[in-house]
Amino acid sequence: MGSSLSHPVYSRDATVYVISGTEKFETFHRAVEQSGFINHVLDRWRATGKPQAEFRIAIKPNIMTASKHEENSPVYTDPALVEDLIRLLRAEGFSRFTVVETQNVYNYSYTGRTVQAVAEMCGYSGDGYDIVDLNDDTVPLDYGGMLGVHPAGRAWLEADYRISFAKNKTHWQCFYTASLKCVYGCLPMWDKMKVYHGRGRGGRNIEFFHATALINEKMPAHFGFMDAWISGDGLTGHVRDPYPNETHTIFASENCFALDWVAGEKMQIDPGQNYVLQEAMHRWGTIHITRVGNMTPWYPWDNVRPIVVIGFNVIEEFYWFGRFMSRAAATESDPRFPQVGRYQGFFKVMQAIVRLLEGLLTRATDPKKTRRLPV
Amino acid sequence: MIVPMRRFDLNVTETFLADLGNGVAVLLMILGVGVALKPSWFEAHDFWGGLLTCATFGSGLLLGLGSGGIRQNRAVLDMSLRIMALAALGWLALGIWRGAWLSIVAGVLIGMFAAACWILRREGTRSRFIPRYFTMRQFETMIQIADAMLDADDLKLSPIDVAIRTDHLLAEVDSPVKDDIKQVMFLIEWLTPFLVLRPYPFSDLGTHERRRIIRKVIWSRGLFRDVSRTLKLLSTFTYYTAPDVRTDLGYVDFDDRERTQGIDQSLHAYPVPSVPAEPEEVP
Repeated sequence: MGSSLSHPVYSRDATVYVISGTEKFETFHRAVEQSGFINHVLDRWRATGKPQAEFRIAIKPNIMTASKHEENSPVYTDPALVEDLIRLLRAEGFSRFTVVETQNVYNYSYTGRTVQAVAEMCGYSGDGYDIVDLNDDTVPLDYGGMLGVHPAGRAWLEADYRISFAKNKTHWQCFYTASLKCVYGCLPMWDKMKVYHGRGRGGRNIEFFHATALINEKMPAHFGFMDAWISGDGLTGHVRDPYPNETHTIFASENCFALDWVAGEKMQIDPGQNYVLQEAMHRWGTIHITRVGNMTPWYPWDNVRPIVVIGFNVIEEFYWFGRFMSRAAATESDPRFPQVGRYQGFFKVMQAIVRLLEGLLTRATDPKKTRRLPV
Repeated sequence: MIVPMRRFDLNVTETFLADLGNGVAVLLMILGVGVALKPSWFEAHDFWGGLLTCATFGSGLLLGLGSGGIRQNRAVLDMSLRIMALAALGWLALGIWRGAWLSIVAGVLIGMFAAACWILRREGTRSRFIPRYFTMRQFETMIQIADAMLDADDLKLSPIDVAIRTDHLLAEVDSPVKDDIKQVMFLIEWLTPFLVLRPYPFSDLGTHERRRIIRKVIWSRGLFRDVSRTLKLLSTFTYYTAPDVRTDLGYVDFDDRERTQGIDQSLHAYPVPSVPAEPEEVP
């Protein structure tokens, strides 16, 4: 809800590259090349005046929403793509890389979920780069707005170049998540439902989209990629999707705001209805986006119905109910992260109900509308 | 699919409320007609029954109109929700009094829909703004004040932005005047409309009527003179101090002025103007 319409990154007109292909790494390399990513990093490095060996690059992929290892996961960013990105940057002479994440509300349901353990489960080797839990080393930062002075992960804050590498998936709180919401995962507190959602004690009154905008405003990603090679749709697309969508696309842009907007268009959703992008527009104004690539919406693709998004917006005002729903949707996990012991039987029943309701609470994209322009 | 960006477009809650309101409006009108045709089913065959039937049908009409423009017809929407709440209570009371279960069901359903619409209306506004100092109502009043006070065709800042800046400013400053400002907001919202014989809240009136009120307030004496000063302070100060507006007016910030370039602007440290304390004698 700010009025600073001149953000150095997000208020600038931008181009979003939507690159599709048949071979994952070849498509990713085309996205890197066409978007001018390498030159963007080099320009930034030269501007800092630092030796290349001291230039720190932080990458924020989606990791902690992973509950089990999948070869082609629709839920978390493909580690092979992240490591390929690091390899490309290393070939340019950079050597200091950090893959950052923080723990999340999965801790309600499972135990032992450290960032390093989940990253290892996903397939991150940690070879030549660090995997950092941002909550392990924080410094106080004035985020402004409703967050005020709050801890910030040092590795993300002090990075010379930040990359958001999101996963393309639906979300029941804001229709879908992309690169801006991926950066929200850099907020250090694991109990995000408690700290960054709804009303709380001491007059705190914040919504997750405010927190998302505030961290992006203070510590913006300099470049955004989105792994849409395999995508997650449906009611619980952000945590699991039994029928992953082979969308075979990579998004790239130097403006994550623009990237997220185009991600919504590809889902046949009005991106302005996404709370995160609504807040982004309020803060950073509207921009002109040039789209390069195939803008035909995904099909088949199931979006979350508006009533679900609105329902969760109301529900999250009540922390315990939000926590309950979070646990009700956490249906499966890798054996190395056992479930918390209490009320397992009850939650198994709840999880079965959520599975049954999924079909009712989603809406498929319409192939007949794929070429229709807005009025 | 290419979607244009609109900064203050309807959000998902408001869009949903518009559709829900339209659907409920149709149901209310059908119910109103149904009761008029079969009053005996609802034990509504006398004056009170007729009144409730009219209220039900009327609230449906108003809700239909209000949901047709969630923001533009906000006053109509609010009025329809109030009438719905009253109609719900009325049907419940009538049903309990006369033992008519259909009236009770109608009362419960109307009440539930009114509550749902009210929650959505509140959440729709809340997901757009969470004021730091004003209440939601005062914030909406502030938007309407800014809209009426900034009387120009080529505003560089929208009334919403002005309200946001005012809210943030008041949240940051520490002054006893802040309490007075809240009182002024109350006066403006509920009393000043009577100056133009409009017994409705200030923020529910149209721009033209609000400007009439402001003109009246400016030319009034006594208490209202202070109100007009506060109105000016609230809207024009935050408007003209906005960076975009200042730049547009040709104002150049001190640090950017040509004559300040290259000169030493570092702080000068003056000696502390106090007498050194006498060293204490150690016994």
